[in-house]
Amino acid sequence: MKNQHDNVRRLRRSLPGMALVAAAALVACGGSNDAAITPPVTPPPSPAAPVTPAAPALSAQIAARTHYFGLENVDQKSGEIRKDLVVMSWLSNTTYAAAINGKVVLLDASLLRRQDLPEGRTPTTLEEMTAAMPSYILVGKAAPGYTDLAAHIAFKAGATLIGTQEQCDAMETDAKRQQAYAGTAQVLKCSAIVPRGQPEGRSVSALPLADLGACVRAIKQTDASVANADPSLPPAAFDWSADSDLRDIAFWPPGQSATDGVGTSAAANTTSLVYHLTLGGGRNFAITWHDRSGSFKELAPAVAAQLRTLPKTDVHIGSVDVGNPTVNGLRDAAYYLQAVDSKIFFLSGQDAAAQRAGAYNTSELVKRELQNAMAHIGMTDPASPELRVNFDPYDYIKPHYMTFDPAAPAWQRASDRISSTACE
Amino acid sequence: MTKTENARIIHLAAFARRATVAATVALAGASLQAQTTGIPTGGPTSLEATVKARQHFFGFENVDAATGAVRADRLIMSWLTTTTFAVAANGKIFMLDGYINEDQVVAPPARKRTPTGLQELVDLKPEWIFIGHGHSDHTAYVANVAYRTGATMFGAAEHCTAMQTDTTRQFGAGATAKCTAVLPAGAPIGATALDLPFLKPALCLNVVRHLHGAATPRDTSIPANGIEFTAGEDPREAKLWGTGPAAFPNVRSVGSPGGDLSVMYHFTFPGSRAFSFASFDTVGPYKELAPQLIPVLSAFPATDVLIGAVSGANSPTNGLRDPAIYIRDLQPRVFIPSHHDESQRRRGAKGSAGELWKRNLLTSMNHVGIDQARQPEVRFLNDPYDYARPSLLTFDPSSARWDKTGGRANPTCN
Repeated sequence: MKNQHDNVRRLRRSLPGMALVAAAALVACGGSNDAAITPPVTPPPSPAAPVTPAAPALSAQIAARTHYFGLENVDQKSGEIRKDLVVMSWLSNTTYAAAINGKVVLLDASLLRRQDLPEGRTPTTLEEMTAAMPSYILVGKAAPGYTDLAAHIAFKAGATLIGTQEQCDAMETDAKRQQAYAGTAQVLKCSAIVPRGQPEGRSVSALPLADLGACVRAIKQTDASVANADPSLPPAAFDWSADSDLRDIAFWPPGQSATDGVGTSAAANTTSLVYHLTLGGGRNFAITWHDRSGSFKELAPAVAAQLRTLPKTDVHIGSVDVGNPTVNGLRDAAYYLQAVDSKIFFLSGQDAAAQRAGAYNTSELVKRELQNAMAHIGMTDPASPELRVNFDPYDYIKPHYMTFDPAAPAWQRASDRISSTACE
Repeated sequence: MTKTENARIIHLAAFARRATVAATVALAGASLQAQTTGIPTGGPTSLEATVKARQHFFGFENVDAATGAVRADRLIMSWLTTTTFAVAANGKIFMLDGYINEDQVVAPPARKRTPTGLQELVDLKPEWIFIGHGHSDHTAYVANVAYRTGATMFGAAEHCTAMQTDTTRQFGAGATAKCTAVLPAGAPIGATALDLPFLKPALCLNVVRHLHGAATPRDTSIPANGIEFTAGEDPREAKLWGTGPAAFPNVRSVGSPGGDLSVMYHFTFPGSRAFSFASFDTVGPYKELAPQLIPVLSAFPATDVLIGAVSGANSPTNGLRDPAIYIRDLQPRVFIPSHHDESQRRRGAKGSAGELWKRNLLTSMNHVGIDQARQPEVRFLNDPYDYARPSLLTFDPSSARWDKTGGRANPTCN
């Protein structure tokens, strides 16, 4: 606990140096204006620093938000999103667009098979993600496949990135490269929820975001995986290339990849963050999301211990794209389910894992393998958590499938964990 | 609405008084002697089972775990195969049709493709069951579920007659079907009954007799767009799902009278938005065979969410032209397809072909002249993955999306 409190204090001390520039250039719908991360004294931006461009037309903002969050949830005149629901859309791999307290939050920022037009297998574009005018972008893993578009969108929309200090640095580097800016002024706003150099599993960092009505918690973790089979469990192996949907290539022929060249140069490493968001206002609804899953049983037991200290989770969205499926099946992912102990689990990242292996639309098989893994590690109640599967590409951008009413009484159970880490 | 159309309307004030064929609530007991062997009897297993069934069909977050009550401020529906849906609307629990395709006994480790069955429908404890038409792939379980739960069935008078036959055959000569006729015997195609009182104050009800599916020659006024039942099927289906004998082969419907007599139901939430949803469980080629439906459906009260059969005998010849014509005339804001799963698999197709059928529907809507701006949001359902997936079919009736200003009116419930 002391470590956690120390970490919060360190975070607060570092905030004035984190959130910089562009506050005055916030645009119609989006951009963060959270007082908790706005420095009391904002250093003047470098005269040479690129400035946030004009916002996309309001009609484009409304169209993007309507696509991601549903016509019934978006005001067609102002683009405002209803605040009483949490609405999420799967954009592919581990990237989601979320509407929380009426604000747009991206979880990662990358698109599989990205094209310039939304006519391919992935039905959205960088342009549309930008037009949604996110206020925040949570960085799970700063690497291709996860944050290719994060710096670009953050700059264009005035969004605040959240990640480790190293991830903030990587995103800043991306932005400067993309804007051809060689100066020293900050281009992006980025809140380092985890300070530089923190070991994995050291603590649960917490960051209140008033405009989201949320407490964001993060645990630094590793996605490294063991190469040997777990001798304590029944043998398991999963082949991502098996049983591909042979119709897929006819339904969704490969198109022209995006030509804008936007990407990330973040160096590959094993660091990623597990995020936990508790919504405020007395609604007590919580989401856990992580875009990578490592072998924490052997390599980072401290991460598992920290996961178990998190407050209760209602909806858990977690990557099943583990690093050792041929020797341990989806065991590593199952351990996250066990540690988080949520009410609902959404599989994530299975589309990217399958496509890397040359297979398509295999989510049903992934679900079954995950169920096997859950049984192997002792999760014997088939209804806990309830598995909800998004099938690619059919469930990309189906906001109604991931709409939650935080006020619903059913989220509260006597067995819920109590928070051991205050946000304040 | 013309005078002729008005004449078709059956003003139900008087009709409603005599419409209840039998109102005797005759909940079956375990001791009742079934007249046909293999007929399950007895009511819902327990309150716990009812809660579990409702959580399955409507999402645990929408169900009171102590009472089984479902939140009243949403329309929540679950597709249970073919044209059968479990519905929670304004707190009322009911079913559209009552048939489970491939309700089979599948031995583990093979997996059952259909994630529900007859007993779960009983445990759901519906208050009402609406019969779209009388064929057994829509009504096989209706009489059984209704008798065992006390649910009231609704249909044309002919359907009520058939349900009484089913009830007698399954539960004995003294068993009475609780069925309310929404249309009198012999009502012609195009007959409507508006603002029926049976569901008030929770919901308002409109009905229209429409046309059962049929094959017609190719419509040469529009581009060819036929689709074979095997088109788009998933070759992995047989590997993914097990099969087995029918769980309840003797629970079926005689299917007549009223086999192809088809009724569309239209429900409205009371309130300023007049949010409405409707369902037709067979899709007829009324352009050729019943053109009198065109003005009737074109003048029908506004429909926000329309569930409609999209597959039938006319699919190979005319694709999804017929459901597109229903959409053209009813002008829903959201369209949800049904029946394509059973329709394909009954004919030997592997199924799970939603993507191709969705594309055919989109093309068909263009062909029949629906401007892009007026085309509804299509929430296509892919079998079997979208069975019992209520999040896909949850609607907030209070949303501004359903505002009727400047559009077709829904005077129902006013």
